[in-house]
Amino acid sequence: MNKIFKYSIIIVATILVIFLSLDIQKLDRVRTLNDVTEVNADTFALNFWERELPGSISAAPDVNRLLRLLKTNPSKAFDEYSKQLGISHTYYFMLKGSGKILSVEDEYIVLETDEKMKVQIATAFIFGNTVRDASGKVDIDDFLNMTSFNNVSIAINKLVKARVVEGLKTLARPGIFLQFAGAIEMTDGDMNPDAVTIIPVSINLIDGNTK
Amino acid sequence: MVFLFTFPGGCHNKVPEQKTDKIAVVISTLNNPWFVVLGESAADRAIELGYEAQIFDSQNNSAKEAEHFDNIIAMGYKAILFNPTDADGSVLNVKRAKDAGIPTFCMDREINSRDAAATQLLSDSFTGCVKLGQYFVQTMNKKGNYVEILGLVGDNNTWNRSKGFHSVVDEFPELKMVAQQSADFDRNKAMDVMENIMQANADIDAVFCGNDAMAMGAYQAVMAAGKADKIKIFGFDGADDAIKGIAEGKITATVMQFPVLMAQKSAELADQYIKGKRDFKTKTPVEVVLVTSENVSKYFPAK
Repeated sequence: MNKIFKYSIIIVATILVIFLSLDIQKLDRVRTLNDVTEVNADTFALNFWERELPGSISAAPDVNRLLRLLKTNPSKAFDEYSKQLGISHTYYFMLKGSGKILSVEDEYIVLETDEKMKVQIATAFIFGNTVRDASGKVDIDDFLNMTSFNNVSIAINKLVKARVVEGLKTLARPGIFLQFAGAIEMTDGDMNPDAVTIIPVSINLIDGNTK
Repeated sequence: MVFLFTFPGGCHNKVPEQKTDKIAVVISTLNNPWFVVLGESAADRAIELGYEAQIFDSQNNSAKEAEHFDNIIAMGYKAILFNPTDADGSVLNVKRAKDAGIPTFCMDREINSRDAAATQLLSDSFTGCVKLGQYFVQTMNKKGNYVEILGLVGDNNTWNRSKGFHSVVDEFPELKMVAQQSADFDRNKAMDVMENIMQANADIDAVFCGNDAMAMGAYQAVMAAGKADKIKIFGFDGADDAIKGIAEGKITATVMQFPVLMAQKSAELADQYIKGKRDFKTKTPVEVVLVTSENVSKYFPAK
């Protein structure tokens, strides 16, 4: 009798442990939890490049005006032209202009603008979120997580390399004139408008040979 | 079993007499000084704002975290300042709290949901590791063999850091990753992992670790093997010992996060929520800073 009582207790205790270990939820709630549409980064970037970026380029300030303002009144430059992401001291800008290639280096070309300012146009180290965040066209709230949001930057940078940088590296020669649009970042308290490196998003040779 | 860590003074002599609303601070683990700072800063700020605050240690255990949420919901807390254990696994806990009318504010670690949390304040790990990756490439002169030691595989920060780093380094074919293993953000595990990797790979030039605790563990292994002068160590967090390590030439670089800022801001957002504000951004990235021998003086000896 004692044995039957003892085994009964053990069985009841085992059932209790198993029951308490289970977390039973409604299936539709679990489905809702997992039913998250991931953004396809390459598709998103292509759409951004063809439909959103032209508007950002169109609204971008002239390179000479922006650099002058960054030197003389950075607060005004930040207020009027920059975009920021979250809590940050980094400001992102779109800009555009024209100039003459002074030299072609391994990782950038040196350009003299039509107002005799020198800037660099990157032809390597095309990384990070500069174009995405300078455009102001990609909202973090549209993404499930930071990984998806950052995948868009990787995809945009791939387009920069494939659609702009490759052609630029092939054709760039000292003395050539070109029009450009691109993105830069500046960190408040640690910026140097005299040494700006632009991530290019559009390059047109002045002679009409467009790339 | 519920493990409850009471913030020193949080429930006793520091409780304001007139206002007794409670805010819970749920931290993934208090076995790492970085998270202790995060939790204590959040609790401190909540107390300054007039709340009672309690810290719950999930001990990197999602079941324990779920128990904490059960208790928090039952005990009528007004808000949760939350550092999750798992980007997917923690979503349900946050949803349960939301259903019970308790808003959750994620700190540092992300959950994979657009609408479960009131908002999420997150270090911009990807951008930080893009900067770290660029410095890595320059320091390595674009070639060499390296090891990557990952954090918790269920944590989005692990992959955002790895992805940011690889988005740069993978562009340079002469930089070869000879081993990639997880050490769960744990110093001792990282030391073991690094010892094993060095036994299998004699020719290693650098190690990229997903946090500074692991970087310090990797450094211990490298130093014990007599290779401290050859193998460069890169971390992430801006922990005091890593910053000191950079100043002393033991660690090559890290990325400084700002846990105090994230924690305090999260407490302030919770206070705003309790007072009626609802229009929060889903996520707010917090900028991080690359720290190397060139700028370490800004952060050493004390942040």
